[in-house]
Amino acid sequence: MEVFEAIKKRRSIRKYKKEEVPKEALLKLVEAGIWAPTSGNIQAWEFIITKKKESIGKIKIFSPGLIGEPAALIILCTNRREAYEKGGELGRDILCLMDISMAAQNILLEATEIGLGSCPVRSFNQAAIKKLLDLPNEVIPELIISIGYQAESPKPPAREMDKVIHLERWK
Amino acid sequence: MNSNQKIEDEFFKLIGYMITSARGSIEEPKLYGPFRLVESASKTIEIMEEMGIENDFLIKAKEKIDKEKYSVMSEKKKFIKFLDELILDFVFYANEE
Repeated sequence: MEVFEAIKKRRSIRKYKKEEVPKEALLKLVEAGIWAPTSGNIQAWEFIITKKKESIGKIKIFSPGLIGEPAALIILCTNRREAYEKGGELGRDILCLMDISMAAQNILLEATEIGLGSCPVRSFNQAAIKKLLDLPNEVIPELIISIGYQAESPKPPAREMDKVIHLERWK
Repeated sequence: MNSNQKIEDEFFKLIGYMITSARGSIEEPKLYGPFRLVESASKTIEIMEEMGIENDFLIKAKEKIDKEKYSVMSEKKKFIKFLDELILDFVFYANEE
């Protein structure tokens, strides 16, 4: 699949089939994530993969944005201590968030390529997820990506190229 | 797990979801609040069904919620219209009872 095809094919999926996703596929998704660009090569990120139904159920209670019954979750975290030590305040407060976002897009596109549905979610209680996953203080859960075989094909909302693209100068 | 424990577990999940939604609604986009409320209504009806409380009107309301709720993501007017219609459905039902 061409990259542009994957970009346009990707949808946020909220309805999944009751089918397991192999561990190897999930590891491949995270591998795609960590090949994203990272400011100053800091790589201040951590990824938690969870497949256990019980764990997913508990995470869902504290994640109103997580909809449907995904086969797995990837919790993308920043390591703020590492980001600060190597990247200063800018690294800790901004750059590590940009990095994790680029990693997330890689994961979403790779999922599309290998036939998996996904949905990035930020509507969750960070303190609750931190506690559930036993994360150390400096590790902050920033985004949860639900993964599974999709049971729906939602229509994409329109994109307005003319409205947002400015050639050379603001028009 | 017996059926009482299962129902208790489902209520625990729902109440946890509602409390977390309440906290999230302070900072999240304004329209997420109404979405979480109708989602909670849908989840409540689901638990009622599991408990064996059958009410055709509520089951149809749940179907309507689950079909229309995602319009909140991209079609605000459609989402508001759906909520307005849903309220009227409840008014008609209340008057019939």
